Amino acid sequence: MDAVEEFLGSFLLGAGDLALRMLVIVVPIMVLMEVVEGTRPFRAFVRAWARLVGRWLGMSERAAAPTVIGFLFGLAYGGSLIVRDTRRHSLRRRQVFQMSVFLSMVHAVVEDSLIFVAVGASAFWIVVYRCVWAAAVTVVLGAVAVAVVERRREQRPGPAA
Amino acid sequence: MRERGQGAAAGGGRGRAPDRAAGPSSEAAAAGPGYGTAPDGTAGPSSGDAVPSPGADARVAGAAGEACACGGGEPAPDPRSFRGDLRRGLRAGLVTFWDLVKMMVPAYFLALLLERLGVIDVLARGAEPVMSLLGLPGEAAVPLVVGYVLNVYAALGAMQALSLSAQQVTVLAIAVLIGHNLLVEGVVLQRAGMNGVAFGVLRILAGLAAAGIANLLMGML
Repeated sequence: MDAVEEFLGSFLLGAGDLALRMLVIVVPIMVLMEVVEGTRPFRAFVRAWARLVGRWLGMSERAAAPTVIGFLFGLAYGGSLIVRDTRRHSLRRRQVFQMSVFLSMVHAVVEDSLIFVAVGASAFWIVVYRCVWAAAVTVVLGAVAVAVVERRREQRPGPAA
Repeated sequence: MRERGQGAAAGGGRGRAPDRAAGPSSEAAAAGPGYGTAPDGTAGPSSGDAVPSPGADARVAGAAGEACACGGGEPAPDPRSFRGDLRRGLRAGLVTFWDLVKMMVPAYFLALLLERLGVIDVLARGAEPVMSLLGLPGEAAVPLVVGYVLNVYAALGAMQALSLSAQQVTVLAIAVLIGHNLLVEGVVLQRAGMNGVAFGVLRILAGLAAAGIANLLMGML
């Protein structure tokens, strides 16, 4: 009986602690996002992002919208924009691949990162380091993919892709 | 709050999945009218009602419901007003908070139970060799695997049952943040025309590698 009581006691304490941390993080983020999106600085950020992604990751400006949305809000949102833009603009396959790699390494940065900061993780490592890592993996895998496609094309010359 | 959100969702004719990352269902919402792509290819964060934001199926659907005034009740707040923003944000925050708690608390309960029953000890011993490469105790494999199968919130719940140092929390967070929710997000990537399984493997390996490198770098600094 004591063991059960002790278990329930520490469960309730731990669960309460967890819930409180989440409440303190999630609600203010939501309020902040609601106020910030649609403001001038936020739009400037989106434009700056488009240039950054274009120059450093070798993606087209078209990749800006899906990646910035996925980066900020989550893979489900970014991914669905990729699906939509693929239909709409017929994005190159390499573009889609690079966008997917980047987003699969880092997405929903604001919310997902903060919940871990709330339990004691270092913000620098889980935000800055992770972004650098994502950019590096995107560039490397993009180059590898190009090399693989080139080699295949040389081996069996078929209809131009 | 939540009842209202769900009612509005039904009224607005949009499905609402129980999980924030339930990909396919959120697609309709995300691709909805709120996020037009501007002609120059940048995202236009437009007026705001149906803008997707973290964990926002509920919120997007709720806003849609309000816009068409299907819910009856109180009048829809002015979409541009600061107070309207605050209220919408508060509602979205509370709805999301509740969704997350429903996910995390059971995961925490299960992890704590398994830990007390000694199951985690057995798993931990098996995972020890891999985990020690990351500077983590063997039992840290539990939140990692929970994160792979479920999501970051469940992983966080499972982490709560362990006692880790600040550096260990950070290293584990990196691995979990890169590789998580592989089933649902794999489906999303699959829909984008990619190989969802390959991306799952990539995320597990890249997450472990990133965590291992971070652990080494942190040791040197």
